[in-house]
Amino acid sequence: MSFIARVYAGLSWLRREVLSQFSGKVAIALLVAIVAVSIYAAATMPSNYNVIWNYPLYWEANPKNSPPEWSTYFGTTCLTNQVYDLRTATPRISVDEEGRVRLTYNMTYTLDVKSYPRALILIVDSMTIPANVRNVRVLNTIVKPDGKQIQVFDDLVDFTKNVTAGSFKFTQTFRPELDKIYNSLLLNYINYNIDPNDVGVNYLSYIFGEITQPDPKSTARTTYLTGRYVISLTLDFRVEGVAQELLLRSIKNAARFEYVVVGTCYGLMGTDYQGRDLAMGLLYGFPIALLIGLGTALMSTGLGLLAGMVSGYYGGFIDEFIQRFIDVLGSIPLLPILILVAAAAQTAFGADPNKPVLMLLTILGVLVLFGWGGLAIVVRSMTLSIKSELYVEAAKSIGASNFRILIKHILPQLVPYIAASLVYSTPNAILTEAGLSVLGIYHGLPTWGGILAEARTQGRVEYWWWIFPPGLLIAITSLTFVLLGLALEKVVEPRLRR
Amino acid sequence: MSEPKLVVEGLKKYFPIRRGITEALTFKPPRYVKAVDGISFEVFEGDVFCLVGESGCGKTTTGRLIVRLIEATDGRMRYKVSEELKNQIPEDLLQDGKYVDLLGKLPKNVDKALRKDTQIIFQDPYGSLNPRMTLKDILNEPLQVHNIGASESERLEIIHRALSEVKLTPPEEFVDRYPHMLSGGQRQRVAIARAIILNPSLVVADEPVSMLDVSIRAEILQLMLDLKAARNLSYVFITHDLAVANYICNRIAVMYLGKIVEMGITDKVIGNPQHPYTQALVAAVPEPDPKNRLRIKEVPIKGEIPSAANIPSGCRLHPRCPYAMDICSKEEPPMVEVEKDHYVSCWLHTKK
Ligand SMILES: Nc1ncnc2c1ncn2[C@@H]1O[C@H](COP(=O)(O)OP(=O)(O)OP(=O)(O)O)[C@@H](O)[C@H]1O
Ligand code: SF4
Ligand SMILES: [Mg+2]
Repeated sequence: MSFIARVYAGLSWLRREVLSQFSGKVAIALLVAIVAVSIYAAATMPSNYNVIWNYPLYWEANPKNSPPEWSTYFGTTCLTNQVYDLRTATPRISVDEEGRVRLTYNMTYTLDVKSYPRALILIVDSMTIPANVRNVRVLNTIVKPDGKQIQVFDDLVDFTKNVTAGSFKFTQTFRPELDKIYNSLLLNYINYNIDPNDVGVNYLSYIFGEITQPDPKSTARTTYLTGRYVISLTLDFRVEGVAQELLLRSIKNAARFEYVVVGTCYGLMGTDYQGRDLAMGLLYGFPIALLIGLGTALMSTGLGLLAGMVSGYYGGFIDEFIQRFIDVLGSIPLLPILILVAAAAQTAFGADPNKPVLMLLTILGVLVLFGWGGLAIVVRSMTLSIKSELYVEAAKSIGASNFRILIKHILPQLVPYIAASLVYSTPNAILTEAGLSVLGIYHGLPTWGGILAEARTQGRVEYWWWIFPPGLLIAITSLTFVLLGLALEKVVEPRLRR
Repeated sequence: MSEPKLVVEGLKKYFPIRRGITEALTFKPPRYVKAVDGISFEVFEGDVFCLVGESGCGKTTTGRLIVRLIEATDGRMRYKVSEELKNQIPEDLLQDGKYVDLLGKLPKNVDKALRKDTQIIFQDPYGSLNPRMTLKDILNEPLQVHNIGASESERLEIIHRALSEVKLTPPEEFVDRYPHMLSGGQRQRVAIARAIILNPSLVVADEPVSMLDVSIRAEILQLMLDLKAARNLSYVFITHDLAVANYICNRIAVMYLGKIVEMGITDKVIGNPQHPYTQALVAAVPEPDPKNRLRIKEVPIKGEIPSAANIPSGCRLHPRCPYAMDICSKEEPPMVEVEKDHYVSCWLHTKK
């Protein structure tokens, strides 16, 4: 009870002292913000986040390398990503005399800026197909504002070979088919010289643009066409026996059933080369960064504390051994070792499904191994001087054990120093991890450093939304801990106070 | 006459001197600071046994050897155990049925029990109390280490009693204070309370008042004498102040460079010093009587005390002794009894 009270008193004293300094105030404010965001992120993070991040299909419907939506306020022409979740939409249903069930979804799409969407895509993920459904025809047409109708795709998917025992999970993406588009262009624009090669490359401008041809001899060109587009999607199920309800239910329960008009801008923070939502990566990077930083700092501080105390208190052979070991560690250059170890780990964990985590742990392990020496030396010298204090002798003459002396008399004096050192060394691991990622020692986990590293290898200089935010977050987080460390150090080491 | 509580024989403590790299490479033999170099004395039950001498002569080292804060290089230190302690000690460790050699190998529980029975009060009350602990924590530590008191409240009661005993009253007002909230004298009282709280029978007091203000020295000394009477203690009292020694000790040993040069009943040693060194010490004490002030210069001792790392041959005093003879630099003088309970180690008193 009194122990808790004393710890509490000590902490509130520390807080007061830290808050009395400007850097301390800034650091605490930043820290509170970082911790709050981390807690929120950790609470909302999907359990399979790591898998999702590295699963291309999940990001397929996102525009790639796209700036955030708010960049439109800075002059970028922005077409937002339009996602139609068809699970919740109500289709028009018709059943013909042959037992076909036809579902028709009509979506309106308003194009209000002079731009073309990047892609069209229909995603079906894990839709349960009842056993008596033989096939489905998936048909997509778009009616332009000027009334012209373009067929985008028309696919027949045969289930008979899949449905062997009961139902099965249907997963497929549907994309525009160039021949269908070209054919409907020919049908709609008679007397136009439409270049099939140009359609092949710029088919979206033929779907979402106005087609003009000033004179009969030239080839047709496209210009922007704003207005209301009607997208219609038809699913034509060939069912044996009517199972309308069953079908509608399985559509509702699919993991994904979306039609996406892919825009040129995405979300709050834009996307990377795989269309991954950078806002997600940055948000979930918070708890990961804290974990890496604090975890590594805790372990190397703990190790340094233990080694330093043992070395200083017991002296003799063990002291000599630990000190020489630190000398050896200190004389090995860390960076080449990290590169070597990471390269070895790269091959060693090659087949392991948890490779990214194992890689990161290996890197952090090396950091811990090499990170405790400096602290151990300081702790040793502090222990040496405390050990020779008269009150330690007094405790010994009473009959107190070494362990008791270490815990009751020596450790409490080291604690403030240890706390400052812990805080100081927290950004180390975050920075080193980021630095190594950028150097190409990349583990594949969505850390800020990892995002930055991919910006270097897969991105371009002008992808500012991809490069600056992770860099900035790394810098701010490091700054927070450095400022806090500075404030703490002034408390711990009163001579530094002005 | 009572029995000896502590019998020290040939006690030595050599501190190795760290050798330089050239010394180590040339295989020079390791050198030592001979802080205590073969001393023998007896402390009787109820004694206040004083160790006096100049700075660096090995008084503190002797005290720390007695409470086993450091390991002796050589010697024997037989300690008389009380009746209750006897039961905890295996038969084969007991000599004459009641003495244990403190320097021998002792089982852990015996070692702990003996540590409980011998306590030390340090010279510096500012250093001997952990500044981060309240008086309660400081006094609780010995109780916790030796599992005294069944509960926290019982221990608090013991702490209160100990504080009252050293006249820090009311104890409630003191238990939650930190050492920096106390005066030097009060701190030394706490140190004394810590020493007696385990009910020891022998207390080593290493210059307990030399760092205190002159005005409170007498109070603290009186307190120690009261405690001795009330608790049946024996003291080994270390001081470099003959006036203090004269006031408090019944027996005294004068040390010079790790050796005892004169020893005996205080009145005899101080009243009738026989060794040239003791004579010089006594002469250096300011005389309250102005008529006797002139006596100070009667026995001049030349120069400084040599380093304990570089001890003169023969009688250690010979480079400084006005009576030095040929033999003095060659052979060490033996300890001889010049009168009953008065021993001197000087060739002047050895009938050849
Ligand atoms: N731990 C140690 N290591 C090396 N030398 C030591 C150690 N402790 C004491 N000495 C040396 O042993 C000698 C005796 O020291 P000691 O402290 O016993 O003297 P002292 O009589 O108590 O002196 P003072 O009156 O100044 O307290 C000194 O020369 C001292 O330098
Ligand atoms: S033995 Fe010699 S040198 Fe030593 S004290 Fe006696 S007379 Fe002086
Ligand atoms: Mg001393």
